[in-house]
Amino acid sequence: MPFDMLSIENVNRRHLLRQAACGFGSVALAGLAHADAASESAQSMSSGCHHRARAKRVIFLFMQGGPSQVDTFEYKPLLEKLDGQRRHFQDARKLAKTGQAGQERIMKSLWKFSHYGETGHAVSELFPHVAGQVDRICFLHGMHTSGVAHGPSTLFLHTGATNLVRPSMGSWIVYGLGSENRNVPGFITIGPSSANGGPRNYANAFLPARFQGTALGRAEQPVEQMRFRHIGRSGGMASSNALNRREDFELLQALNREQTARLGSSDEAEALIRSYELAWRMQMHAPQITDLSGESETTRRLYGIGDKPTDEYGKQCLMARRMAEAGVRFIQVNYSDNSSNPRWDQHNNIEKHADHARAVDKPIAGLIADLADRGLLEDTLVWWGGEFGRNPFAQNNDGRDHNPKGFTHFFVGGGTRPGYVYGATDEFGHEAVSGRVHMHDMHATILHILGINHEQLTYRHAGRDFRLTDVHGRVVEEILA
Amino acid sequence: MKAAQAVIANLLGISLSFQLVTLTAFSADASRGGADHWAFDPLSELSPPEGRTDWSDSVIDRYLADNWQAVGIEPAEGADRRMLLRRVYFALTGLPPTIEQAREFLEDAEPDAFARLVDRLLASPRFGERWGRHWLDVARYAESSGGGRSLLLPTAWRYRDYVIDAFNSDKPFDEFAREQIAGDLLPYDSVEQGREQLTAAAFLALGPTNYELQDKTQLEMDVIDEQIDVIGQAFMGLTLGCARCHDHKFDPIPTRDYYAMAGILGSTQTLLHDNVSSWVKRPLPITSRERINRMREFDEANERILRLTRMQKQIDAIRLRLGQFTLDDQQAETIGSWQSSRSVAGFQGKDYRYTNDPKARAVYTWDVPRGDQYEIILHYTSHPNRSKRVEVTVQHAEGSATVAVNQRNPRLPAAATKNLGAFTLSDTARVEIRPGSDGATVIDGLSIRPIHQHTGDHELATSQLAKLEERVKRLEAAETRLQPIERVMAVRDEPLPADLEIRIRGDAHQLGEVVPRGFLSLIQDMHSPQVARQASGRLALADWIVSEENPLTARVVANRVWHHLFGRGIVRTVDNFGHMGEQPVDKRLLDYLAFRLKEHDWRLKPLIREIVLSKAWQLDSRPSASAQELDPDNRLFAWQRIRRLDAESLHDAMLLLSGELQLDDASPTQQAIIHSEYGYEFSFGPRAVYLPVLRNKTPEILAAFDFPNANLSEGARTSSTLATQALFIMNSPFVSKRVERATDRLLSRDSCDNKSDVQCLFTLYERALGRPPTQNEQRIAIQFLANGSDQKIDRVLAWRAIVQSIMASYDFRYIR
Repeated sequence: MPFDMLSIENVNRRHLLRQAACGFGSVALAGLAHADAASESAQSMSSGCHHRARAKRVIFLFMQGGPSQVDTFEYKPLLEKLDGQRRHFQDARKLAKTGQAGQERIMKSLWKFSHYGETGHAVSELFPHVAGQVDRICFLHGMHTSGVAHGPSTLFLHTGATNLVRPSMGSWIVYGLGSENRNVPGFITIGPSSANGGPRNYANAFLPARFQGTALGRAEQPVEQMRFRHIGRSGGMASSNALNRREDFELLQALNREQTARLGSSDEAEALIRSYELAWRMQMHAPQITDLSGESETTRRLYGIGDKPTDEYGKQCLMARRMAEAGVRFIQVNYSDNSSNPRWDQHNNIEKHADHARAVDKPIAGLIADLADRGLLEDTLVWWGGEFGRNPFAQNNDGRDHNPKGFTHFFVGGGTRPGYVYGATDEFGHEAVSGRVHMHDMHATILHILGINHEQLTYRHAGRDFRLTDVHGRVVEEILA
Repeated sequence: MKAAQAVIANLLGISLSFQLVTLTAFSADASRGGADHWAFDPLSELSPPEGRTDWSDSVIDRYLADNWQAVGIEPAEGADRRMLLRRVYFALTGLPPTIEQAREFLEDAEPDAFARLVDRLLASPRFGERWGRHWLDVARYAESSGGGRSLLLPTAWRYRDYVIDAFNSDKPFDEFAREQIAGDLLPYDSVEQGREQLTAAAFLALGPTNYELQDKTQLEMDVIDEQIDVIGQAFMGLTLGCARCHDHKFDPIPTRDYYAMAGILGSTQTLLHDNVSSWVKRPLPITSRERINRMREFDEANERILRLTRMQKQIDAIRLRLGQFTLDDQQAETIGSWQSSRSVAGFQGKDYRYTNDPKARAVYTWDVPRGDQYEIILHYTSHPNRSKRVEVTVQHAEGSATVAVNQRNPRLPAAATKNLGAFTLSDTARVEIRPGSDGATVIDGLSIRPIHQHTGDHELATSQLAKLEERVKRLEAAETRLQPIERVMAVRDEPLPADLEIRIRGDAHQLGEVVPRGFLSLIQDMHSPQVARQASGRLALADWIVSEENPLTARVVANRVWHHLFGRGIVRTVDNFGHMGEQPVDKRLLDYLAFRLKEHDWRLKPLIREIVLSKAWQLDSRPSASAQELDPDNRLFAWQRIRRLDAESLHDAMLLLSGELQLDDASPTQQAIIHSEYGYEFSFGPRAVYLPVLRNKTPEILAAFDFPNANLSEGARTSSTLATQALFIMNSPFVSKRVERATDRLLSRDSCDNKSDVQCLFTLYERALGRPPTQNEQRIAIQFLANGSDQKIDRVLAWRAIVQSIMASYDFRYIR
């Protein structure tokens, strides 16, 4: 490991924070706020808060815009048979707007499905590489969620609320578990979109600021240009300054010490000096996790790096693996852009799904294989999905509208059942009918996998205790190995 | 009195980390859900303790000294004058003193020098910029909606300026409150007053609203909920949102009360519905003179339009006679996706269309009236984003010809034409447009003009046409744009106010019983304002909030003032006065301050003055040994709290040091021109309070230093010290730029040219920290410069490192 692992500074303090971080002590945490604000203390939790953890970290592969389940991972042969016929469907958007639904024209998938692996799960030809990994994957076909438009549903996916301002899931997790390595951020989102909630999707809301997600680059920015803000590769003070950097830093600390000596030290002064020391260390370490130059050609090829369609997402996925190794708790790899009709959002011309699938298929399969090879799947949960799915019937002749009522997410690793399929939509692929998993349940389950009881991970704000899952959430025990 | 001391002893007797647990357990157990809670009691009778009269005449000091005596602690020493000077400048104006301002005070040996300084600062326009921002935190002020699709709120800045002006003019808080809740309903004596009041009413509409939510009933209930929450928190320190789904668990606020208030806000229109909804905009009142001018301008414009229409008709008639005609893009057949647009002016017909799809096509076909030679002219609109290689193919009698058209114009977006040439046409003619792949392609029409004329009056008609076209041009050029009527975001009463049904478990669609509109039953008696049947009840709500029988508002406001001056409130949970909040450390003192606020007709400046002139406020930031031991958390204010500069003060102080800060004593009204939140580049110069507040994009300098979340009402900011802040100061372009400018300014002719390094260092320390450098500090800096010159490093670069270290240093970033 190229990173300095945490050294325990103060056992009592750590013990206190550990309790505080794990929910029941949330009031104690609030009580500590002033003392804690003065020092950013590292917290480490290796074995979960409330029960044994199956995973220590999450890599979330966010498919922005809503990929179609019936064109990817949930095969519905009936659509071929009834293609072009009209049937009554309870369309979510029409219901929300008018309270009424009507006749829709069924549209079959443009892509052929074949069965793969020992488990024989059917995957469309859009995902040939991921198909090669089906025996490692745990599919959830009975997903459903809240909201119909991108903004509300994207916020719901990330924060558990369509409209109210709530902390992002990654922030909750870092609040609950702390960070494994204090020289790198605990929650990183790679190439996040500025649209559909933008920064609110990785913001801490009312949780203390240190739990906010750190953006690495932004959507549509070439990976080569993505950097952590204010951490230069060379590091050091004033970028236009040609002085020896270490000397600059020592000057600053010497002046700080002199100032505290003048009128006597204080908690605030010591916290300030420590914050500079930590910054200096982060500056030394963080750039390493985005630096792919040391990766072998074999590894790069595994992720599709070097081939134009897969190059960008491949690099993002490889960075995610390096972050997992460095001990980042929550890593989000965004396949997204900055428009209000994001990537997978094919209201017309569903054929464009092929471009998006091509861009992510090999990188995702590469990530799964690489994590497995390195033994990282043991304690890393890979999570794939969008804010909702798409309808099995046509919109604008050759497209599909949003479908929050039934869609697919999948897990790999992190103690989930490999080669398993949980839940299903109806025979058309429209509404989740069995093994239904609401996005609240998804959140509860992921927290559970990390050793956190979602009902106990609370934070007091504005007079009440808040939870990621509000008053909802069921842990989907069935998918646990 | 005994009780107060018991509370204090209790506070001090328990260990630091579990204080809150114990306290909340204490208060919740004592009166769970009951109305017998200190904050709901009427203000107590004043009985200032005798205390140590030898120490101070201030009533505030007597209360505090009484507590110190009871616990057995000594206050800190008085702060030295330089420390006090810096403290009071930041507290009242958010800025450090300049060297000149510092000198003015330090050389003033009169006993009332400090009191006069305080008066100067309270009268300075910088005061409203500082204290107005405190209120903007509470009002969750922003200039974009945030949420899924963040919409810009282009008139919100007027509300900001209204708040700043209100603090500068020391508008009584009851009036201030009434204007924000019901400004649109209040009568006014002058147009200015009417404009102010309507501007204030934006308060209710400024929240983080997800306008694209498709379930509009849900959206309305969410907006109402947000409004109830912000009203409860901002004016009364109550978290009313809890009662949306169930009776409040800890405070005596039943769900019925929530829906009684919801009925008032439900009878208030905030939203205009659409696929993506929007907000109510209302015209600002104008003077009768303005009205007459506008009507005249309007008549003139109408007249001009009539004349233009008449002339256009004549022109069309003559063209037809000459065999000329124009096809609009509406008449073209298209393949692929073409979007309609009106953004570049001057187009033909009702709009034009564009595409970015190179595979799209547009085809004009028409029957040629008479086989002959014709000129064909393509209409489009140019713009920097257009394609340079649009291919246009004309099928004519002798074959076909392709012309490349460059629709890009890097300078000026405008309507444009391209003459495709002269062609012999017969039977049916066809023009096909193939978009380029390097930008947008536009179709706006096609003009066809015969080259040979066969009519007898050709010459006459041509000259008539030329004359008419000339007149049209002149008339169009003479057109003055009508001043748009200024509309501001506000709310209005619904024409038919109605009571609202309880929503069962907060589900917008699960209706329960109807609740009459009203307020919190807890704080109501026979004297309370009543909701009239034909009104929303908003005005009555505002009156009730600042009424005599409501003790909360004055307490909450007085406590906030204390919080801003001392860094902690007398009630530390400044936004929560309910059971889940903390108890006041001294209720007598809080009530005294609330009483004083009302005695001064709800004006804040006299209260601030009284607090700042107390001895307690002027104490040193180093505690006495007894206070350090017995009250390590400084609950009793026996010394001054060391405070980190907040985001705006840090921004302003850096710009002041670099000489870039623009302070404008005239009306600071300004509006940032923002086209989209994404990609908006902030520019720096004015004080931070004037930077646009965008919910999805906060300038890094503010975001890094705990600028409040504009989605939430926050009376107390967090104040963290994080490595990310250190990184920002070490590496951000923002700081680099300030450092460069500050260094240039320092080394420029008028400050430090031809002077020794030590003299420069003195100037820097006086400017940045308001004090001279110590011997040691001089030695460290001079040594650093000497090392640099040994290594042949540019003197300017060495000085930059020193300037940056000072900006990064403890004394710059903290106030003692």
